[in-house]
Amino acid sequence: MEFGSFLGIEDFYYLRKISGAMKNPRTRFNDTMFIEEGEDYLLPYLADNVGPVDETRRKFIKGVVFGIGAIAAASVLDAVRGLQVPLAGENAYVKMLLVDSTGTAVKASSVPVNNPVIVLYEYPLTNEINFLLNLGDTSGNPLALASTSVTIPENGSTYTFPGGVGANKSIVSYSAICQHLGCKPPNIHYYPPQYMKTGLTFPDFLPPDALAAAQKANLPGIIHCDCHGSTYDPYHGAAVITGPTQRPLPSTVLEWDSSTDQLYATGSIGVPVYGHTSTLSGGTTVSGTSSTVSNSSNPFTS
Amino acid sequence: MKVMDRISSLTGKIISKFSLKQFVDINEQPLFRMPNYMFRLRYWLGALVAAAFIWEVVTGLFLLLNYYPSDPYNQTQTIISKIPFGAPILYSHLYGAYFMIFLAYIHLFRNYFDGAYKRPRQLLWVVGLLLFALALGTAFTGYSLPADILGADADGVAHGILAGAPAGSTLITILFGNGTSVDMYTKLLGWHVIFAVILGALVGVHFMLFEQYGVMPSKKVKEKVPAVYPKETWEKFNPWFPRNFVYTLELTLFIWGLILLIPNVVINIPNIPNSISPLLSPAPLVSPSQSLPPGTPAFPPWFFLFLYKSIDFLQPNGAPYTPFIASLLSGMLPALYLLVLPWLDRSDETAAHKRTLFAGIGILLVTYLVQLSVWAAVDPGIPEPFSTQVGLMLPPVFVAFVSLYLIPRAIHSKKGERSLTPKNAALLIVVGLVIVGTWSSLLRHLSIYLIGVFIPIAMTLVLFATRFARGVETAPVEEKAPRMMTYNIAIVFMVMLFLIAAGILALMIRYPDTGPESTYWGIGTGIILLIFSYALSLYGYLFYPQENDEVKIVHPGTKKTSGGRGIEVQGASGEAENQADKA
Repeated sequence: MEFGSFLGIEDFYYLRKISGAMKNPRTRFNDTMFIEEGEDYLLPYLADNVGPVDETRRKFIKGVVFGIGAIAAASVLDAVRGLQVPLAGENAYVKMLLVDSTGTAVKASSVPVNNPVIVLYEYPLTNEINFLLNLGDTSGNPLALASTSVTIPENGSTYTFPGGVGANKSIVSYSAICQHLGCKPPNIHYYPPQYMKTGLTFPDFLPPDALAAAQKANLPGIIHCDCHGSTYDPYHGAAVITGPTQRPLPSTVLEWDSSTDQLYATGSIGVPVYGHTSTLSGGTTVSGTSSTVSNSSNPFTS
Repeated sequence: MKVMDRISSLTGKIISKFSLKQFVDINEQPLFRMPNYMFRLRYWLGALVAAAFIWEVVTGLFLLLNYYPSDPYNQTQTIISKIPFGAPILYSHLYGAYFMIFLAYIHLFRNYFDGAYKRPRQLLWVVGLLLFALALGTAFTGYSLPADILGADADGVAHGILAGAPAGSTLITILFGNGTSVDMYTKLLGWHVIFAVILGALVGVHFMLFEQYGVMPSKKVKEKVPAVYPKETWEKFNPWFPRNFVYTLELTLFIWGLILLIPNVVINIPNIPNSISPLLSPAPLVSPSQSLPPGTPAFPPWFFLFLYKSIDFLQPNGAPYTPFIASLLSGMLPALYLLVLPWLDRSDETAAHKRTLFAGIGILLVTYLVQLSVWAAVDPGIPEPFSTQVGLMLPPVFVAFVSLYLIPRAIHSKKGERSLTPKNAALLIVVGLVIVGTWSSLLRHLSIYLIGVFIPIAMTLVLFATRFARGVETAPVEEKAPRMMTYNIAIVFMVMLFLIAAGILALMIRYPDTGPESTYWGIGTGIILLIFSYALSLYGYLFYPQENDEVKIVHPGTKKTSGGRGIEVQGASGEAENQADKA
């Protein structure tokens, strides 16, 4: 401390240390000794119990060391970003011909109407399966499905479902992975008009509320997930009829070649397929220019 | 006999010559020494969890050597059918995890109701909770690895829960990779091992903290915080070797025996109904590309059932919660409560009856855990309106606090002198009848509602039963019954156990080491381990002091405890023989 300078913060710090040491039972300040010996007692006492007066430099250097340590830690921890891997996938939708297991093209006219069997194909990635449906009325005649607007209840936004394809405009395709918690066929499947009733064998029961909602909307059939009861309207872009899902099933866009009666998948509309941030990423691409349509199973035992 | 003596003295010489003891003496290590009364299961619940963990590590390393992330489902089937002892080891790895989680729950709630989280063990408690979270994470990633339909479904649900979380899509790529199957199973395997390694490291921290504070003394010894033995007291108890070692080995072998025995028995039970097979089956189910047999509901593993049910809950307005919010409410809220509990419950009391509020909340936690789990198993995936949630989950609140209020009052009267007046007796009878009544109808209907009534009453009774027993005992405690097992009987017994174990071994090695029949190895070895465990238990009973040294600490540091290491084996055995002769 130079003559004339004011008390600095470090002086207060030092004074606090002195008073702490004086109160501490182990290093208690002996008043009697101080009165008897004066400075001869005080100075050794301070040297032993409090240390030298100026700690500023030491503290400053310590602070800088901590600072360098923090920078080093931040710089190392930055590598944690390496845990994030880029998603596999493709950049754009590839137009794919739908073929059967023998490799011959599926004819639109040969897709059965109101088929209870689950018919699936992978598009555009191998872990994204889609229903192929030919929808009809209660008497089994194909229904022409018009383009309509679909609402996403989660955020209230809308998109346009392009409608059915084929000679009767009755063929549609949707993602076969439930948007609620990702249940797959046979847990989620189409209930054709002949199975729109209660009292089916477990687990293919239709809960009364799903059935009532379908009848209220005057729907011949529904897509229903047996896991948690989400219900979708296949006639209007797989819009949500009952929760718990908050998102419609994405529509897989089909193209029909009227000259050859062949079907092509060309893209996807709506929310991303469940479990994907985008329908095009997060999986292995279906190779080639065709995707195989297969009969998975008939969920109805009776 | 002379020959035997010579042999034993010779082996003794050889052992002492090559003994490590001259370099490392385990009894010189700062390990907590236990009094006699602590060699009981309730003081060793953590050791049981650790035993299951060690089993998981050993079998897990075997499976790690044989697992291909590129073809997970088929390779799992290969492990089961082609690799020697693959089936019993894989099955016991799954059931070992089940045991570990179940035992961790028991360990957690015992420490909860005994107030073991209080000063100075707060950090021990927090590390324990972290361990539990890590165990669940390890279990989840491991559950997915067989790539069967259950694992694939569980991953699907995890995607849905995480998608709603902040930075969810980043988390998904970190946990599940870039979306291809190979990457996903490589990542899951990696995380499974990483979580297990972190778990192991934290177990080390947990263990060191435990050694620092020692086992919590019984309520009779010290009821108030800090519930610790002073060092000069516990240093006089049994040295770690051999007694602690023998008891640890006994418990470890007991748990290993069960882990090996039970799944390999279950897999051999024909015709387990589809409706419960996902919860019980030690083997993976069908691959995700096939459909489940009719009637098989989509279940998560049993320890996630409570979370699964909460996803079905609807808000008061009828709209569903997002899966992330639902899991946050049912999983994170209780976890946060338990995490801050040592700082919420700051009283000096460790006895449950002096912490009514926290005991009540604890009872509710257990009740809801069981209730939601059973509910999810009975009605998987059925959306539950708010009114149903209230109808099922509100009554336990009343039942818990009313029984917490009534039962202790029925047990002891106002002035501190505990007696069984006619009024109290009547109250107790009513409570007893209610329990018996709900229990019998519970058995008949397995109703979730009755679980909510039964568990709070039963737990309150259990929590206060010991207090009740202590309260009404007026006569001086009688001396413990004399040991009925003489050395001669014990020798016959031990030889019989040896022969049974040898017989099982001889029977077992006749079966092939691959395919379904290799599970007989699991059954046989499980039984042999249990026999070994029982033999050690008998050994401990015969040769280690059993005197009751559960003595109240009056003035810490000055009070001498009786019993402990001073008692010689010969003295104890002579006493046993004398008493047996008298009988």
